[in-house]
Amino acid sequence: MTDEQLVEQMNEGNREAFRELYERYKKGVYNFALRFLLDKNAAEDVAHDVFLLMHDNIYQFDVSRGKFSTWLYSITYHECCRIRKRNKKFFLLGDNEEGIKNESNHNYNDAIDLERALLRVPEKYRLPIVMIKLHGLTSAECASVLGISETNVKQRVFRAFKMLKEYYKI
Amino acid sequence: MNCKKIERIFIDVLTGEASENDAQLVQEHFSGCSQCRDQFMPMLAMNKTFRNITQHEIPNGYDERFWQKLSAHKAAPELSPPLKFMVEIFGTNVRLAFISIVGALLSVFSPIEPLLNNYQWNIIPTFLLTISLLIITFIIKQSFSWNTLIFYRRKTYENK
Ligand SMILES: [Zn+2]
Repeated sequence: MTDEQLVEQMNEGNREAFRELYERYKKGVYNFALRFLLDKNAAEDVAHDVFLLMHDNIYQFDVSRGKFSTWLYSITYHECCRIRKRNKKFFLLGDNEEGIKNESNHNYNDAIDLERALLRVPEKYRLPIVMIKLHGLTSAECASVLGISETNVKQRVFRAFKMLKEYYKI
Repeated sequence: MNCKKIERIFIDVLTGEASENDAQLVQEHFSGCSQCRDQFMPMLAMNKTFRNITQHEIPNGYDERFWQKLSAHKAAPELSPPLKFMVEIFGTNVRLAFISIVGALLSVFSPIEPLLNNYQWNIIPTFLLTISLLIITFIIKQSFSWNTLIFYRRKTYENK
């Protein structure tokens, strides 16, 4: 069953449909928030609030305007912005800085190193690349979430790749 | 094909939105242009590596905490209109404005001034009154739990 069909069922009052959508996206929303805020507790809080918001506002979701996942990630994005505005101090996951510096001979293939490098990319460039490469959004969907043009999204992704390449050299 | 055009196509390859044909074009260009190859090949390698980045596991107790939050959220009764008004009144900016107005009024018409004739500066009791008002409004605001506030802000689809 597709997400959109589940939404329809949810609108008809089916509680199991909500549970199913939660199960499908709990990890994705949490990971998205984590890679945005770089703080595990904040990411969990945001993820929970996102599902409460989804629960309350599901009737606002309009299939004709896009996929459910894009809508959900858009809520996640705005909740993250709201939380971040309130608490300016967030820190990197664990102490990854050293891990990046100590390893010199990279072959660009190690996923863990790549993720560490990714965390150092400034948010502006990190978000588009996270959405597209890790959460499966298209550039157009990413553009609609961030409220910027598609060309802009692509430029940011490219910049992010350039930065990642630089970070590997450290 | 020049390097600038290739760069544009290459970005589509990175975002996974290039056609087979475009990807072919990029590869062909790389075989003839070492500058682009050196610049872009590492990015292609990283692009493949992205597939191997796994999602972080959700923390222990994440589900339990969520379902608890949800049932608390559902159980929160809808605020009656006067209460809604209170929440609004004691919201951040309005609260400050309210306090300053009350404070200003009190400094002019201090109700306990006759009792405190000995004071030359009636600003002291006024100050105390204002502080206690601030504390009271703070307590009132805190007594509305976060869930209640969320509930107040957003209608549930069940009540639609
Ligand atoms: Zn070239």
